[in-house]
Amino acid sequence: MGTSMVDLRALAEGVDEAAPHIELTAGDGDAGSIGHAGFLCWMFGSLALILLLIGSVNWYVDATGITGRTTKWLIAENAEVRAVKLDLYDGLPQPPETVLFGSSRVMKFDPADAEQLTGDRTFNAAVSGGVPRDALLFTMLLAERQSTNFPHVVWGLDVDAFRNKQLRDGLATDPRMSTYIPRSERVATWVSSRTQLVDWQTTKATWRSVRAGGGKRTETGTGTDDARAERDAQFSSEGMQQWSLAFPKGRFLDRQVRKQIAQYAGFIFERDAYDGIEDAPLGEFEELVRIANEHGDTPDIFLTPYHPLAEELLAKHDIGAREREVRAKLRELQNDSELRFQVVDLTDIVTFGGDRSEFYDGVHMTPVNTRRALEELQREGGLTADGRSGS
Amino acid sequence: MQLLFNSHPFLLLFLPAMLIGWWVQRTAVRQWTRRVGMTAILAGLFAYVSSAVGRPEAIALLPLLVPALLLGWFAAVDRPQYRLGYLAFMSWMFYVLSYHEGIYIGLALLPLMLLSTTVDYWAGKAIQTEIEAGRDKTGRAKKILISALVFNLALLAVFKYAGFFATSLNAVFDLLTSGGTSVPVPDIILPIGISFYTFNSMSYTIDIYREKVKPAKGMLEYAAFVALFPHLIAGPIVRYSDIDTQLRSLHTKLTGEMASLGLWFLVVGLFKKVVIANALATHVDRLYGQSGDLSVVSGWAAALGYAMQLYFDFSAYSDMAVGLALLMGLRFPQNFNSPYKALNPSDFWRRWHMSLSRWLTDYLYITMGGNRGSKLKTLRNLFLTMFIGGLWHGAAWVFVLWGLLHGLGLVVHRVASDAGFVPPWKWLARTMTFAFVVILWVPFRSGSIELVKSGKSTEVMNNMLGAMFGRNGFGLHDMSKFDATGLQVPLTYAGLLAVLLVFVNIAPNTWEFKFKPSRKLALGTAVLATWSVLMLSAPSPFLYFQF
Repeated sequence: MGTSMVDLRALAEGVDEAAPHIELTAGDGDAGSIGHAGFLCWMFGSLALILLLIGSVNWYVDATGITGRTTKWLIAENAEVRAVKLDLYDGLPQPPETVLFGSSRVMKFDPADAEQLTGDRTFNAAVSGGVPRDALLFTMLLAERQSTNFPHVVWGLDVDAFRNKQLRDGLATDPRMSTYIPRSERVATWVSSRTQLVDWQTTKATWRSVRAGGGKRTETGTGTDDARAERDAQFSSEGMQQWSLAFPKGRFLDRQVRKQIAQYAGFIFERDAYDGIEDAPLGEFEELVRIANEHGDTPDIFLTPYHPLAEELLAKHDIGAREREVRAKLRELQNDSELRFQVVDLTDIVTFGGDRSEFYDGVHMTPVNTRRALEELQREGGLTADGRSGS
Repeated sequence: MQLLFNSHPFLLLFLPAMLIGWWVQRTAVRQWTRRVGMTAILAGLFAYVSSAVGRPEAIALLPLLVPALLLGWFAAVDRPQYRLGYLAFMSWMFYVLSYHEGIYIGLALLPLMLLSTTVDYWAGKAIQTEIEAGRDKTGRAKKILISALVFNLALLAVFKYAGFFATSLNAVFDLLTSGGTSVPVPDIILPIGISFYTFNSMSYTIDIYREKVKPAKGMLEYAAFVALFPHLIAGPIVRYSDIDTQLRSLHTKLTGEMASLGLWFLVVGLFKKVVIANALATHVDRLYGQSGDLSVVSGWAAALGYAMQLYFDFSAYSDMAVGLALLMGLRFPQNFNSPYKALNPSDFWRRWHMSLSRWLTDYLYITMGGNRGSKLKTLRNLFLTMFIGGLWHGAAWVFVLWGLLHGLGLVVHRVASDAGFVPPWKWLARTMTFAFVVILWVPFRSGSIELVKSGKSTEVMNNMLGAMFGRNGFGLHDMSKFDATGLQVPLTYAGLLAVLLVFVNIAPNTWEFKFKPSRKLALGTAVLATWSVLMLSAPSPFLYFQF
């Protein structure tokens, strides 16, 4: 730069004479100095090396299932569930007549209960963290595989489903799904997942997994490490998530609700900054319904419930406004668009006779409550494909 | 999607495109390298925008992207105007992409900045013409100056303060007529950076009038100055006089000094923002969200946390702005000088947001008479300057209160020091000043956009101050493990506060650091950069964006 950094201060008129300024050393003449070019080389070189190391370890361990390279070190509960559900669907002896979509809140809905109520073969395609995009991709697969016997779609829609969320790379790279994803988006997802390889959350998960010596661990819930490992995602052949441990009750449940809702609020309202319905997931919802309608099905949508204590805790995040907004938007689509679908609002457990003790955290119900929810859906005409509208 | 300094698309796409288009020239091979590299990266930016927010939005960006590309394509060392044009269009693109509300809003509000740029450029030329013609400056030249200033102030009045004025008027009507009369309250999106670029522009015309600087040689040069992306959104308020000679004789080569120092400022700023400020923000937001339930311990934890958050957030932006400017061969003035080491309120304002202090001093305080009149007039001028300073920060009475209280602090300090009442020890002076500043950050924080819009500013401010001074009890139990109800002060947060309190009091600031290009420093910088990259995943806007 020719002049030293003293000139920086000289440019700032009126600054206190005593204000400090940067001093530049000449470089080569000073002991230990490597010159500015040397500094840049060392800095970029070290940065590249460290990031490469971190990225490589994260890629190898893949603790959060970003690349789908391995499941051995997975630390996140149900990170591979999308691939598992696809495998289970492929393994069904007969194509399902009803398919359940949704997030982890629907994963405990027992297809056997639905079959008992309706007589229709049912498959639970709900996935952990499921959003409209997941349901749409699976619907596209159904439209291709069951074009002449398209199943009835029953979708447990979370109030927070309509927020933009990165498509999990594991699903995008699965050859069964990738054909439904535009190439440009696959590329964008691939690029984005690579940046996740040098991300704090991923690195933290890698550290936890490596420290635990690998193997599955879950992020929430009570019990010992062994018990948590045992409670890892196990699925029935129809896709229901099975559970081998006792669900928390009483004050343990309350504590679990508080803890889980704090994490939930952190993800939904802070990390994802959800403050209103976003266009992309809404578009995916509409596209799914359109595909179903084109195949002669009128999907039944039910809004998933919260534990009453969770509703209280989420009041400060204005969850009520989000609920009202989703209901209003669905009504608007029903009335003003050509889309055909039914809506049953189960956000309040009173509507289906739900028991507040039959949750295992703020949003996930035990099979006792999920059975009651299915029964209510059946009463409202929401489990069958005969097009009867709900009340 | 929002293009922030602390985001992947800015660091991996926008900045490399900018630097390649700006610097890589000279030989024929390098010309083609620049052209191909810049085109590829800008195409990548287009693709990113397309996937992040949609194809139509990306296409809407083309009127800025294409000229930037063309100008960058033809830029050369002997064609500085093309380089300035490239800089201007890239800066406008950055501006449009900075809007959280979306690209369309950014495109809709960009003309406002262009209008301000155009008006002030032509006003500056007209004033200079009058001066060069030897005419009396108090005649036409003054009228032109006043018109330009009124225009910029009108922009601020409409886009920043209209809602505030209307709400305040309605409050007065409520008192007088019990709700019988009211005026509609406009809901206008606050254009990003309006407080900064209007002040930049006003200083330009005033300095021309005062014959401190000559007008820009061309519209492109002036437009590039106003839109200069490193300081466009959140300062520092760089005056034209700070940078005119630099824009007229642009560096043709990026030297090792510029690059290493620029990167060092950038990395340090990034670290301050994504590692320190963001870590504090989680706790501060949570505590402020429950201001009604805080105790003395948690109240002060919130107040101190915000004091640290604001310092690291704002000084981070200033450091990054300086670093980015250096990477382009431009030198910005210092904006922070360890403000929490201040010995009195006056000293604080010589260290905090120095560019704003200088602006207020030169264009308000001195214009009103400064300290040239009686003591009472001097105190009045101090008070009024801080009133405007407070109002500049935000359209809410809490900011006015904040400014007035700082004004009062300046007045009290002036009177006390004139009378010989000064703290006998430096540590006492620092502690008193720091406590004064921290307490006054409470109304400042209460003026956040969300709280103002929800009408809860005053309530939160009262809750916080009440908690801090014992209304809800002392709350020693607060110093325990965090639980889901979010009321308590985690020990990790308390520990971080303690470390930072020591740091801001004893550590040298970025400008005081003796930069010596050694392996140790290179490795240390790489570690800071790595840490920052790891924490980039959840970009958060800088706090001063809302001003």
